[in-house]
Amino acid sequence: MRWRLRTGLPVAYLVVLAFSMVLAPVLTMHSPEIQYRVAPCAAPSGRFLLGTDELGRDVWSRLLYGGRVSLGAGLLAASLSVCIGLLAGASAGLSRGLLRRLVLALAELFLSVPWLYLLLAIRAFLPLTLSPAQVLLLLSTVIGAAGWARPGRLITQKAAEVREREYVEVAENLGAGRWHLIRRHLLPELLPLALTQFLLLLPGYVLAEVTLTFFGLGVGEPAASWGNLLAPLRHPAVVGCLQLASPLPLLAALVLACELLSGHGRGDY
Amino acid sequence: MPGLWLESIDVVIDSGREFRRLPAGCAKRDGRARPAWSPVLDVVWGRALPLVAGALALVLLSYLGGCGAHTANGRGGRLVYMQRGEPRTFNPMYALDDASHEVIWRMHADLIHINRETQKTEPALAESWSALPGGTGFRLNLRRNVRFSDGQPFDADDVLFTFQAHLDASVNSAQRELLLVQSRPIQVRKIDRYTVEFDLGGPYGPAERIFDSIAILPRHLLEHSYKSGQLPGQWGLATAPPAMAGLGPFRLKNYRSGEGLVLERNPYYWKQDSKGATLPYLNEILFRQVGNEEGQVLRFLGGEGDLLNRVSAKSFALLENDAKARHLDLRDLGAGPEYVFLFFNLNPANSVPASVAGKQVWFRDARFRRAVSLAIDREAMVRLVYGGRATPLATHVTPGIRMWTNSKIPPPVRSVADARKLLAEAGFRVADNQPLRDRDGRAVEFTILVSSSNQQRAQMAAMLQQDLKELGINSQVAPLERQTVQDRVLRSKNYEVCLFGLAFGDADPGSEMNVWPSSGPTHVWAPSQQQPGSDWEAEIDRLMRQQMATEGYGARKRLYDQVQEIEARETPIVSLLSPNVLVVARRGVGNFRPAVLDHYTLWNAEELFLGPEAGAAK
Repeated sequence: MRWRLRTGLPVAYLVVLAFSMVLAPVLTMHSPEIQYRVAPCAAPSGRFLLGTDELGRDVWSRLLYGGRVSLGAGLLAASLSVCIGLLAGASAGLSRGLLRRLVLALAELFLSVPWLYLLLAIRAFLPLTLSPAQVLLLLSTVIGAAGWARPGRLITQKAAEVREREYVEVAENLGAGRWHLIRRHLLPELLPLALTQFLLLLPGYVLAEVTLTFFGLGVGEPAASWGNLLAPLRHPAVVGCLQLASPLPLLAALVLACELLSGHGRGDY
Repeated sequence: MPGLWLESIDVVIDSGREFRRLPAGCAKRDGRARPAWSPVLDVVWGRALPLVAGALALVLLSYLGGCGAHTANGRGGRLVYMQRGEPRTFNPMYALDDASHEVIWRMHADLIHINRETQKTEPALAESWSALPGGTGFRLNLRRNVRFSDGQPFDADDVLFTFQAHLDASVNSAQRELLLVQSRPIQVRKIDRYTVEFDLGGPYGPAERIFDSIAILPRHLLEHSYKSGQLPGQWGLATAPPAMAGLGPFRLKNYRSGEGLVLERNPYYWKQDSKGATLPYLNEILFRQVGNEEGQVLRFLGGEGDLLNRVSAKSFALLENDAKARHLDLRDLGAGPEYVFLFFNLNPANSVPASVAGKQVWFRDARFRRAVSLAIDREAMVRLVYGGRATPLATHVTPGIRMWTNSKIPPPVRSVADARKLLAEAGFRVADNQPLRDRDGRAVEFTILVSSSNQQRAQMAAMLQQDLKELGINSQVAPLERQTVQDRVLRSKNYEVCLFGLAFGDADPGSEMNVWPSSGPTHVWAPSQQQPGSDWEAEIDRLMRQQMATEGYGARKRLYDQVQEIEARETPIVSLLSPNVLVVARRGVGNFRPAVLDHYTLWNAEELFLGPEAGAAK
C-alpha cells in the first residue's frame, strides 16, 4: 500500500501526463493558436472545456500543447545535464589526479555563473528568426548544459568511492581498461544516483522554461507553453480569467511526483 | 520636447471637471463656489434635502469658512506619489528618464511654460514677452524679486548662464538640440537685469514653446563647476540638498535609495494662487519607488500613496472595482500622446544583413505596407488588449494632440479583401489558404520584433500574426529585452519588422522633429539618413522644416496636414492605436486635474493639497 502511494501514484500521474501531451491533437477540438475574438476570457463550457484566454484561445488546447513544450524542454534539459554529469563524473571519479580536480573546479565555476543573465545575453545575439522549436532546443541546451555541475559533482564523489572498492582495484590490477571499469563496475552503481538526479532536476527545469517564457524570454507567442499561459497572471487584474492558472496544479503535481519518486530512489540507495 | 521612447505607457484625461478654472481648492456648481473635496457636501448638494443640508452646511461652513479659507485649511501635509523607478540624477541638463524628470520638474521652473491642461503657453519666470521685429526672436521681461530655493536672488545673469551652459557643446546637455533652430544655436543677450533677448535667427514655428522645459539654473552654485568643466558631475544622487537650488515649488529634503525621496516646500517660491496666497500648499511630497506597475497597484490598494500615473487598462479595471470602497478618484483622460505602431526595416540595403535586404523588396512597396495596414483588426486590439481604453489610429497624430489632427483622413477600416487586391496589384500571388508569394515565388514571411517587458505589445503581436495569416503571411514574434530592441532598431538595424511605441513630448509638431525628418535620430524605419531615401521622405523633410520656420497656427497646420496625408498614402509606419491616459488619486487630493501631457497628475503639484478626506481614505 505504502509502495503504491509512493511509487504507483507518481508513476501513474507521469504516464497520464505524458500521454495527454502526446495525444493532444486527439484530445482537443481547437487549435491552440486560433483566436475566437468574440469570446475572450470565456468561462468553461461544452465548446471550450477550460474556457478561453484573453485573446479568445482555447485554454484546454493550450494547456495540452503547452505541456508538450514545457515538459519537453524539461526532459531534454534534464537528460542533457545527467548525461554530461554522468560522463564527466565517471571519468573524474576514475581518475585520482588532474582530471578529477579539473572536473570539480569546472563544476564550481558552472555553479557560480548567473545563467539567467547569460541566457538573456545569448538570446539577444542569436538570429531573430527562430521558430518555437528552435527556441525550445536552445533553451533546453543552455539550461541542460548549465545544470550538469550539481549531478556531476555528486556522481564524481560516488564514482571515486566506488573506484576505491577492492573488487574494482582487483579488476584494474588484472588489466581491465577504463571503459570496462566504467561499464561493468561504475555504471551499475551510478545509474540509480543518475536517475534520482534526473527526477530532482526535471521539475526544476520545467519551471525554468515556464519562468523564462512567463517573462517573455522563452517560447514566443502564439506558440503555447505553460509559461505563456500563465504570463497574463502577472497582473493582479486578471481575476476574471482564472482558467489561465490551469498549469499550476499540473506543475505542483509534477514536482510532488518527482520528489516522491526521487525520495524512493534515495531511500533505496 | 522631442518625441519620447515609451515602451510601457498607458495613459490619460478627463475633460469635464467643473472646477478646472477656479481658484485652487474650489469647485463650482449652480453658480456657487464650494469646497472641491467635501464628499458630504456632494451628497447634500445633489439630493437637496433642505433640513439636513442646512444643518450640515452650517457645520461645514463653520469648519471650512468659505473657499479662500478652505485653501488655507488645505495647506500642509505630505503627499505620497508612487513612482515606477529611481531617479538617476537631479541635474536637469542630463536627465533623460521619467523618474528623474518627475522629481526635477517639481524643483525647477522655466521662463515660459506650456500649461499641460490647455496645451498653450503661459508666463512663468518671464512675466511677459514680445516678438522681435521680423519675428526673429523674443524679448522676455523677467519677474522681479524672485529667489532661488536657497534664498539667492534670480535675474538675467542666471538666464544667460543657463543658456550658455546648454548651448556649450562640450557640456553635452541633453537639451542642446532643442535650442538649435535651423541647426544654429539661438543667441541670448542681456538687455538689463530683468530683460533678456533671444535671437532665433529667423521665424520659428513653435515660437515661445521653445522655452518650455528649459530649467533655469542658479549661476551662483554652478558657474564655478561650469568653468572648471565639472558640470556633468554636479547634482548627482549623492549631492547634499543645500548644494542644490531651483526656482520650482519644492526643494530636496532627503533621498535614500530604496526608501524614497522627499521634497519639501520651497519657502521662496514665486507663484501665488488667485487669492494671493503663496504656493505650494503641500509641505512635502514623498516619491515612493516601486519597480513595477503590478506592485504599485497592490500597494496603492493597500493604502499606500495618493497619486498613481500611467496606469494600464487592466490595473484601471482592477482599481475601478474598488474605487468606492477605497475612496479612489479614477480618471480616463482619453487618447494620450502615445502612439503604438508597426514599421518595416527601410534602411539602405547596404546597412542591413543580407537576409533582411532580401525582404526589403516587399517592405519598400507602399502597396504592401498599406495592405498590411488594411488587414489589421485595430478594433479588436483596442477591445481585447486595452479593454476599450484606447483609440484606433489612422496616422500617428493621436486625438490627444487635438490641435494637430487631420480630420480629412478617414479612420482606419479593416478590409482583408482590399488588402488582397492591393497585394495582387503589387504583383504578389494571392490564393485562399495558401502562403502569400512574391513575383519570384518566395513565400512572404517575416519576424516581428517586440519588447518582452511589455505584455500588451506581446498580445498585440499575437493578434497581428493571426491577422496577417489571413493574407497568407507567416510571421513570427521575437520578444527581446527593451534595450536590445532599441539597439537593433537604431544601431545595428538587424530586424525585419518591429512593433513599437512613441509619444509626443509636446502638443506641437516641433516635438516630432527627431522622428519625421529623414535625418532624425528617431526616424525609426531608417534613422539618421544623410539623404532622404525616397521622394516622399524628401517631401516630408521639406514640409516639416517649413512648418518649423512658419509663423501662425493655420499655416503650420496646413503643412502638417500634408505630412499626415503623405503618411496615410505611403504608410512608413502602420499606426495602430493610442492608449488612453489613465490616472488615479485618492479622494481628498485637492486640485487633482490630470493632463494628457507629462507629468500627468503632477504637472500642477504646487496647487495640489490634501483635504481631510485624504487621510480618511487611507
